[in-house]
Amino acid sequence: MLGTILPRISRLIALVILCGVLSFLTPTFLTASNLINVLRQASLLSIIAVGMTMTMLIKGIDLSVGSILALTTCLAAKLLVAQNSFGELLLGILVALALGGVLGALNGLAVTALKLHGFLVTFGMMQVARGLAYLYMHGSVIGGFRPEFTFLGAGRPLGIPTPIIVAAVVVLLTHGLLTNTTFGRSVYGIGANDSAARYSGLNLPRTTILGYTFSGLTAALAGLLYIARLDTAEAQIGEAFNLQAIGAAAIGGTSFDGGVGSAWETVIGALIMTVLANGMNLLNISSLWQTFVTGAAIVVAVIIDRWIATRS
Amino acid sequence: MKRFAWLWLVFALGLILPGLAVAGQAPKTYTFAVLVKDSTTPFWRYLISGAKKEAKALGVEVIEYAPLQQQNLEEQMRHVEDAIQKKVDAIIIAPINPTAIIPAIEKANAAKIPVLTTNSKAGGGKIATFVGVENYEGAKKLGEYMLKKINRKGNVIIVEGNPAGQTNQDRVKGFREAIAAAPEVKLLAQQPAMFRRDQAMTVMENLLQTHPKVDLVIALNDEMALGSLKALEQAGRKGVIVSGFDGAIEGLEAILAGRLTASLNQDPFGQGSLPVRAAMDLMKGKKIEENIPTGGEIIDTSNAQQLLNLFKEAAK
Amino acid sequence: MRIPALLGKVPGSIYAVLVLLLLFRVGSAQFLSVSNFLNVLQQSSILAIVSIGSFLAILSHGIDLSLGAIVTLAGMVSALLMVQGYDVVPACLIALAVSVAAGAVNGLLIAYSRVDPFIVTLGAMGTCEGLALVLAHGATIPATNATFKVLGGGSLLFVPLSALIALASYGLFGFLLKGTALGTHVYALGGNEEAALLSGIQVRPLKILVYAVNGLLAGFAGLVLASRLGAANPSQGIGIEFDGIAAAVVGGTSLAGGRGKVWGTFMGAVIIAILRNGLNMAGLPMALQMVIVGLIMVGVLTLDTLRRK
Repeated sequence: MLGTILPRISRLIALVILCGVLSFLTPTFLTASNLINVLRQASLLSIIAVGMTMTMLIKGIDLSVGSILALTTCLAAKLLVAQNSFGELLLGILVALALGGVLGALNGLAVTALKLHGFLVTFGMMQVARGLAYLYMHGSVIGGFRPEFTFLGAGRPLGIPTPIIVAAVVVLLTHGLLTNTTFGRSVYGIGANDSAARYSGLNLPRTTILGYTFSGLTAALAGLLYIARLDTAEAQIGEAFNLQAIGAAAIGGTSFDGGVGSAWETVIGALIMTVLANGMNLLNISSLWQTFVTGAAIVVAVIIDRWIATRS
Repeated sequence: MKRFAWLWLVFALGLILPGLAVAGQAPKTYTFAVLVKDSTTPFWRYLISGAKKEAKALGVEVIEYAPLQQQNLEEQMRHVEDAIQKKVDAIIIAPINPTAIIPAIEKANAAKIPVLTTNSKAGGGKIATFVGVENYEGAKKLGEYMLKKINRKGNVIIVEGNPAGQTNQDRVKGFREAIAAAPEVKLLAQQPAMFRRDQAMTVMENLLQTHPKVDLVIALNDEMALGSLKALEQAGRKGVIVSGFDGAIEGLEAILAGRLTASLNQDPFGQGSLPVRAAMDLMKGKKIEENIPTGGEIIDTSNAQQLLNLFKEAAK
Repeated sequence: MRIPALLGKVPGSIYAVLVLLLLFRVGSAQFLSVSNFLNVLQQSSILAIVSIGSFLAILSHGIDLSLGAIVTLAGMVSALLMVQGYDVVPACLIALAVSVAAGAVNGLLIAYSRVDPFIVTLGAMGTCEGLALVLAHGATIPATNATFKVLGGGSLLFVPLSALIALASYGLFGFLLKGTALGTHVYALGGNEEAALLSGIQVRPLKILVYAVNGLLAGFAGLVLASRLGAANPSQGIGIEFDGIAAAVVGGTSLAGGRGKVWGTFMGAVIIAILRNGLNMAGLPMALQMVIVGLIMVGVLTLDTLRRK
């Protein structure tokens, strides 16, 4: 029995071991306050990372998530400021999400119509979207949003920070999409074997476009939560997210060849990365050593995970 | 296959025609290259904006170069080389690294293009002038000012930028020396946030978990100071004072709003406009100073408004 | 052969280069000068050398994210040794040895631990970069030895030495990959690992070799870079691994492994270098450059796809 369970929770065990080590090294780690802190920080990354997982499952990748995040939030920002009405606030949120979806759909269209790999298409989108964001913002920032909006980032309904709730909903939804719908079957079908999937009547181009649209949507959503927390929109946000999201998805076991990966495992990947960063701050690890520790810890965590998984 | 023949024809025309157009042009105005450290941080946008405005007033052209990748040394070197190829009349540069920029400056020297440094110094090569603030001294001055505000007693956190950066190291040195000279002050932690607002916020959130009593947060630039402030405010921590560095417009506004306690003025607009003016003087054959100081004063509620008015005017 | 047929055989990337040259010629008078040509040659050499590594990794159905970090580490090790009094040649050899070792560790982990090459090399990126940071205490180490400077700054009959080295490397790998059994094995490994294993190819040692060679290539590029900048800074190689992947992909290498030509990667690296130089020469503001780079990349590749139909 252990043989079937172990591989499925091997990553979770790696995360638990990491947390164990940290709580041994500093009593602050395991406090309720810090754990909620970590969960909140991991929420944003999780949202983007499940979008990334989606694109990786369909044998692609989305390098433009950080840029889409920046562009959509910058364009919507003026509508969200405190001087505007609640209606304009809702419009702003809709605009950001819609734009994220459109940009994602453009990526998907380019992948299917031009037959280019997602790497190239989203590399191009990454540059274009970021450049447009800078051109639009001219180096300025927009801030001072309505309290209803900043609540999204800083509020705590029932004591739980809003981002955690939003992330939980997104992950549950994604999981549901992937495991219980035709769309989900198409997604895994593309990853497993292109021709077989095509013959079984699934619409591959549509699935691909939807997959990238999903990634664009999650990027925009994460962006909204982000600027709500910061109470500022600037053109440069989200630059580090690309690699972090890919890292989280990869640590979570998502394969670059497609077909393998899950929303929950990606969340564990995101948690591993966030816990690491949190631990280094708590332990005041010298800035000089942080890059080394992050790199080494990632490799160790994954080796532990693989070792446990193959114990069966 | 005929379409390929067309392609070759277009290509040939494209090579010849612009040459003809250039031949008939009026005498050109001076062109200066302005090289900054990255294309993202608002500080550099202010600098370029200052440079462009001065250029417009003087009737010269300014071409901006900024590494697409933050702090990419090789990209900056390529920018110098490309500027040399473009035969600009002067190179105004904020070197990412004083040592690594030397070969590039030497190339410019060999091409007889005057080099002016701004914001950060270069460690070698022939430089016409340096415009800017001494990071180390500015940091020390600001550090002492902030420590006095907490009566030289209490807990301090430093939020730094990029540990491998020269500017970062100079400022850290200044701040740490100020702290070392105050025996009743304890440095709780020094953590990196890459000069980013969002990263500083995350770092601060984490640090607040483990440090219940903090009196002073020293951030190495205004962006990080603002991020730290957000974290403090959302965590409901009172009684912590924060300082930044740069004199960014948002920083000034935060000082006037009573959130940020102080910053150090780098006069980003001046760091852009003054070297352009100096380069123009060089073109006219005038002699210029080796060191053109600008900014360098501590900004707090007493002078934030004037600076804000000045900068807002310059930013238009 | 008749001219139209001949024209059809020219790889799409050459057309891409011509289109770019045309556009940039319009954008700046100095773009198409001999001196700028040599300038671009030199600027592309480091990326070109690193791209071979990216190509090899992708060809073998893997990926190597640690190349930039090894570039940094090699430069750092050589600079530190020279500053301590070591002679140029031993310092460089030791730096190369360290690079090969780092690559070999990647290869070992990838071959034996069933961990995805992405994560292994992602971790290696952090560790090597971090190592460079720690070794130098965050400082920038000067590398101004006159002999050392020749690597990145010298020329032979006006052609930059670094460009000649890059071309020679491509020639070498072009031959190795197409003309030797070893090369065929790498293609087989990338195309279908199971089949390669069954046909008797030593898959594990081969993987280790590929990544060790990557280490060597990155190490060499790192020495050239440190020589060019006259310094070793802990962040100087960051990001180049990504450009290397872009160069390989633009050059027609399939991300699924097993398909691609090393000279295609060379064209990819050249296209990227021309793009950057051309945009700088046109004097466009950086934000606009970002947008244009994205559009041109996709545009160029679309042209290529259309052409092939």
